[in-house]
Amino acid sequence: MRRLLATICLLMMTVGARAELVVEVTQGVEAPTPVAVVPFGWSGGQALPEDVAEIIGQDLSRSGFFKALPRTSMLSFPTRQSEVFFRDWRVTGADYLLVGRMIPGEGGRISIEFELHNVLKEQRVIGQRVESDLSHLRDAAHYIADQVFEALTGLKGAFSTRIVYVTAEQLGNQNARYRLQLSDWDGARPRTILESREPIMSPTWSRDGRKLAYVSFESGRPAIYVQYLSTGKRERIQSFQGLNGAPAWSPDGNSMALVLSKDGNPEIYVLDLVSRQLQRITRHYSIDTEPTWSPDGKSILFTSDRGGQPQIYKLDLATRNLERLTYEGNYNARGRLTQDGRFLAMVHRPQGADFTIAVQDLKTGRLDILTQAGLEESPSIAPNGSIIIYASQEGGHGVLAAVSLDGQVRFRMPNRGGDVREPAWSPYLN
Amino acid sequence: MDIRSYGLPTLFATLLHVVVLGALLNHWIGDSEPERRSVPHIQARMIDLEAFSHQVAPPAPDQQAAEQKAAEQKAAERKAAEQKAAQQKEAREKAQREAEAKKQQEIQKKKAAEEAQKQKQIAEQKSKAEAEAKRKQAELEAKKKAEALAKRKAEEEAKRLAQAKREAQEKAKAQAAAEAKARAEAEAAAAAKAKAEQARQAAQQAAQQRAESVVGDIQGYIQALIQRNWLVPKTARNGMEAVVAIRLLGNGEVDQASIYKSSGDAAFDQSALQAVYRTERFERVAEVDPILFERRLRAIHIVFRPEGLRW
Repeated sequence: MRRLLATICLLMMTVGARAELVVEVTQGVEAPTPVAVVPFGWSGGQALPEDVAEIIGQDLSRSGFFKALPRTSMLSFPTRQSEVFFRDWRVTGADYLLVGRMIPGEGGRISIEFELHNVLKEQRVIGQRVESDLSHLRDAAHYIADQVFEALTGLKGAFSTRIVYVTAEQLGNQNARYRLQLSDWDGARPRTILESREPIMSPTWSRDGRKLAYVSFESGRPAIYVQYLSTGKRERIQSFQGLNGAPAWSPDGNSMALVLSKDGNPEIYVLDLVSRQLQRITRHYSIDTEPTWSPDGKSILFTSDRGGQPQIYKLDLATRNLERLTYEGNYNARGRLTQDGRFLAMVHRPQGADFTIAVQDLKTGRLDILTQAGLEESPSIAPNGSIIIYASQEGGHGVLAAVSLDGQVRFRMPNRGGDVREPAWSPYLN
Repeated sequence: MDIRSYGLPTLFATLLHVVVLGALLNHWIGDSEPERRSVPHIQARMIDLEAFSHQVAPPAPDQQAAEQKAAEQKAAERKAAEQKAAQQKEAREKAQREAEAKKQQEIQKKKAAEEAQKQKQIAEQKSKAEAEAKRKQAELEAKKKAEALAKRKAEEEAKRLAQAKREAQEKAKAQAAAEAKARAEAEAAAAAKAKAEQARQAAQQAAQQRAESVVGDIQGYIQALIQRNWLVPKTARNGMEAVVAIRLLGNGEVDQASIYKSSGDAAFDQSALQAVYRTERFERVAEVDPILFERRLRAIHIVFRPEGLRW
């Protein structure tokens, strides 16, 4: 009898093993993943200039992927695994928990040890020790945020990247100050890398992140310059009669797309940076401008009003095949592609409304408006495609703002006076 | 048929032949002499047997003597001469008689001898005849015996064959019977089994239906729980699909969860796992019949396939 039962059980088990119950889940909660970033322990005497955990939490939250648990919800402040009670953290609703401690070293050095835990699985995900010092705590924080982001999403974090942007300050009649600024991706720690009385426009990064190209009117007319970030050395590479603008480095760094009106009206050209050969690639009586490269470097996207209103086109460099990409709305310009080439961020003006930042899925053609209508301009995408930074208007002043690719998270960067325009997100810098 | 089975009969036959031959040989060899002796046999027949029989009458002299004595007493004298003559005569007669007797005796003796011889001959003949008869008898008997033996053997063989046949028949019959019985039993068993199977199937079907309904319920329940607990990551795109294989404990707790089929997106896969870990326990699974649980609910695949996402 027992053998029979055992046989039946076995049979059932084998049957069961073959025909597993399948549950299909097609809906979920579209919300960021909650992460608790516990204030890091500090065994040093003096107060620290930066709250590392705060920066990490902010980075993660602003990516749109995560939501940092407010400290007021935390039941305890563990700094190492042995102090962690996962059940408590589960109750607070955190999926992941980041704890860390900072140990003072000699000469202002600080060692930061952090551990990322999966609260639900009650398992350590990663743990690392980071060497820093008092003046680089912010870098350390961004670095840790990058590590956490990558561990949890599989995507490289972009919190250690930088942005450049242009500020304009009216000091009086006919007296303006234009500055090219470089800051952390979140707008923190800005520093001026170029200051001019004349307008500065269209800053853009080289693919290796070491150089910037921009348009400067310092010589009285627009010219394209390249500036080395490490040395500050500058180089004027193009200055034709008329408009010289909108430089864009090719992915391989050997060419630069730009807009010149030397032949009559603005057209797109590709400049070979080695041979200095210039090749005109558009030929149309209407305006062609704002070129950007596809990630594979095989085509160039640009804005053209050849259809009667500004729309974004894609030109295949090898076949010269031209394709219009945008159809929705009466104004689509300043396109930028995500690194996977799938999403096109742009300035979009819907019918009867103001300018917005929108993103179009090139795979499906679907267009989503990410920001409120206003005077939004100059979208630039983080190298990991998670966030779009853009220029907006607030109180009559230009400010920097950012929005997650899905439009769920928006935030403004601190405004330190003046109009802020034309942000450009760096590539990965390390 | 084994060749050895002829061995004994062959031996018997050979022996019989030898015996018969031997007997015949004896007969043939022994016959020649008695035929020659048949000559005195004819001589003996010429002797008068009656004379011999008179001669041997014994009581007569005794009676004669007594009478003679009386007569003698009366005429003793007269008869003395006569007596003397008579005695002489008697002596002569006696001598004659004695001679006669002797002769007779001799004859008798001879006769006796002849008789004896004859008797012997007869006896011999008789014995010979007897021997012959005996031999014949023996021969006959041997023959008979051989025949009987053969017959018996044949009979035995026949009997044996018959027996074997009978046995075989019986065996076949028994076998057939057994087979029939077995078949009948098997049929009965099969019928019973079929019936039981039918009943079982019906029961199973009913149980299956009940089980399906329970499983369906649990399926919906699990789906609802997971959907509530799944935080769709930013990297999720329509058309992505990850399958998480989970193993439950009897109380509905998640024992193990692993990516069975990856979506290709780390965050998506991770979010699916987290949804399971967040759920932690499917309480209603604990109410399910343990066998059904074992069979259908211990191992579950959860397919995460978002629909209606922006991208």
